[in-house]
Amino acid sequence: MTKVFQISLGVLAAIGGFVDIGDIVFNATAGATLGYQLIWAIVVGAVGIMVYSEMCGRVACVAKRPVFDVVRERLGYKVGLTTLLASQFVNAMTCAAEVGGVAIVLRYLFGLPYRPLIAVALLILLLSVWFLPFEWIERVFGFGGLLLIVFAVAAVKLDPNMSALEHGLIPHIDTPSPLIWCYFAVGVLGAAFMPYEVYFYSSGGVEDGWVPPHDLKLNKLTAIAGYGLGAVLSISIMVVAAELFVPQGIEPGFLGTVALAAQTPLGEAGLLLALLGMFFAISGAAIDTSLAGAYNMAQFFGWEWGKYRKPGGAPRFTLTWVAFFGLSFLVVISGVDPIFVTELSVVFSVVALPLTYVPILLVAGDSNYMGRHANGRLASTLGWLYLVVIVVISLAAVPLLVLTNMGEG
Amino acid sequence: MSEQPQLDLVLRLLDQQIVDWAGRRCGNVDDVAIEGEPGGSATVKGLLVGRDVTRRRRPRLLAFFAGPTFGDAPEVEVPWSAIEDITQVVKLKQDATELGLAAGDDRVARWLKRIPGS
Repeated sequence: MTKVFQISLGVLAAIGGFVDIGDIVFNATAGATLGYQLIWAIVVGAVGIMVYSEMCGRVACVAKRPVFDVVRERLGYKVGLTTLLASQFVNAMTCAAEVGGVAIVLRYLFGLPYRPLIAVALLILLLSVWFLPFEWIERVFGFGGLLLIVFAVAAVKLDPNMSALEHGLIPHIDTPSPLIWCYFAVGVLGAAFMPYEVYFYSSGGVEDGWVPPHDLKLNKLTAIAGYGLGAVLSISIMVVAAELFVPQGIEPGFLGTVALAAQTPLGEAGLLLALLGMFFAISGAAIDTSLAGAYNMAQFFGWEWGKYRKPGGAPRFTLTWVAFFGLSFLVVISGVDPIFVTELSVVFSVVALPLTYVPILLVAGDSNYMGRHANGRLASTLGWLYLVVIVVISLAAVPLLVLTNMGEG
Repeated sequence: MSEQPQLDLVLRLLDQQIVDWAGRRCGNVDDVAIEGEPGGSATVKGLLVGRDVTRRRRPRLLAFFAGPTFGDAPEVEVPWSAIEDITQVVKLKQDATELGLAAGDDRVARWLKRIPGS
C-alpha cells in the first residue's frame, strides 16, 4: 500500500493533466468527430510527458531544482520573466476553467443553481489546499480521480471495434477535413504537454523530499505509472465517445454529455462514478494549476515556497495560490464558459511549451549539475525528438485554431 | 586568481536561490557586486538582491510584472562575508531578516497569522 501511495504525485499530476475539464470534453469531441483516428496522439503525448516528467523529477531529486528555478537560471532573467508571464496566463486560464468545471459537476450531482455552486467549489478548493498536507492532496484528488476508470470499464463493455482501435495507433487521416484532424491532433498532443504538469510534478518531487538513488527509481515509476494511467483514461473517454456519439452524430459539448456515456453501458452507478471521478479529477487539476502558479512565482522571485509547511510558513506562496483561486472565481462568475476557456488555454499553452521544456532538457543533460545522473543516450534522444514535436505543435497551434474556428470547421 | 575562476564564480552565482542559516528561502542572486579599478584586480564585494537590481536585466515592457515585492527592500547588498557556502544554493551564515532579506514574506505572514490553520 505504501508503494501505491508513493506514486500518488504522478497520479495527481497525470489526472490533473490528462483528464481535466478541457481534456475530458476535448477527447470526447475528438472521438465523436474522428472516431479512433487520434488514439496515437494520446500515446505519443503520454510517452513525451513521461520522458520530460522523468527528467524534471530527476533534476528535482538530484539537484533539488524545480522547473522555474532552472528556467530563470538557464534562460536568464529577461526570457525567464517572459516565460513566467506566459505560463502564469495559461495557469490562470486553466485554473478558472477547472473551478468552473467543479461547479458544473456539483450542479449535476446536486441539481442546484450553477452560480452559487461556483462559490461552493471555491470554498472546497481553498479549504482543501489550506488544511490538507501535500501528501493528502495527492492521495485524495489523485486516487479520487481514478474513479474515471469507470470509462475504461464502459469502453470494454461497449465491445469496441478492436481492429479500428489498433488502426488508430497509426497516424492516418480518414476525414474530408484534414485541418480539423490537425487541430484535434495538436490539441490532444498539446494537452499532454500542458506545462503546469511539470511545474507541479517537479516542485512536488522537492516537496516529497526525493533523494537519490532510491527516489530516482520512484520518479521513473511515478512518471510511467501516473501518466500511463492518465493515458488509459483519455483513450477510454475517446473510445466511449467514438462508440456512442459517432453513430448518433452527437457533439459532446458538455461535461454531462460525456458522463452520460458511462451511464449507457453501466447504468446509474456508472453515471455517479463518472461524475465523482470528474469531481476529483477536475478539482485536482484546479489545485495543480493554482499551486503551479504559486510555485512558479516563488521560484522565479526566490520566495519561500512549499505545501510541506503550514500556509504561514510560506506567506507569499500561500497568497499567490489563494489569489489564483480568487481570480478564477471572478472569471467564472462573470459568466464565461469554462470549456471555452480551457480549450483556449490548451492552444495557448503550446505557444509557451518550448520555453518550459528547453531548460529542463539542457539541465537534465548537464553532467556538471547532474553528475552520473545526467541524461543517457535514450533520454537525450527522446528528449530532443520530443522537443521537435513540441516546437511543431507550438508553431501550428494558433493558425489551426483560427483556420478551423476552434475545430468547428 | 586567474581570470577563468572569477568568471565561473559569477556564472555560478547569478540567479541562484539564497537560503539563510535556518534553510529559509530568502531571494535570488539578482546581480553580483564587484569592486576594483580597471586594470587592477577585482574582488567580489557581495550579492545584490531586489527589484531595483533586476531593472537593467528585464525588458522595459515587462517592468510592471517584475515587482510584486510585498514589502521587500528594493535593493539589498549581502556582504560576501555573510556567505557560508555555495552549493546548489547560496547559503548564508545569518538570519534573512538581519540582512534585510525576505521582508515581504514577513509582512504577508503577519496578515496570514490571523487566519485559523495558518
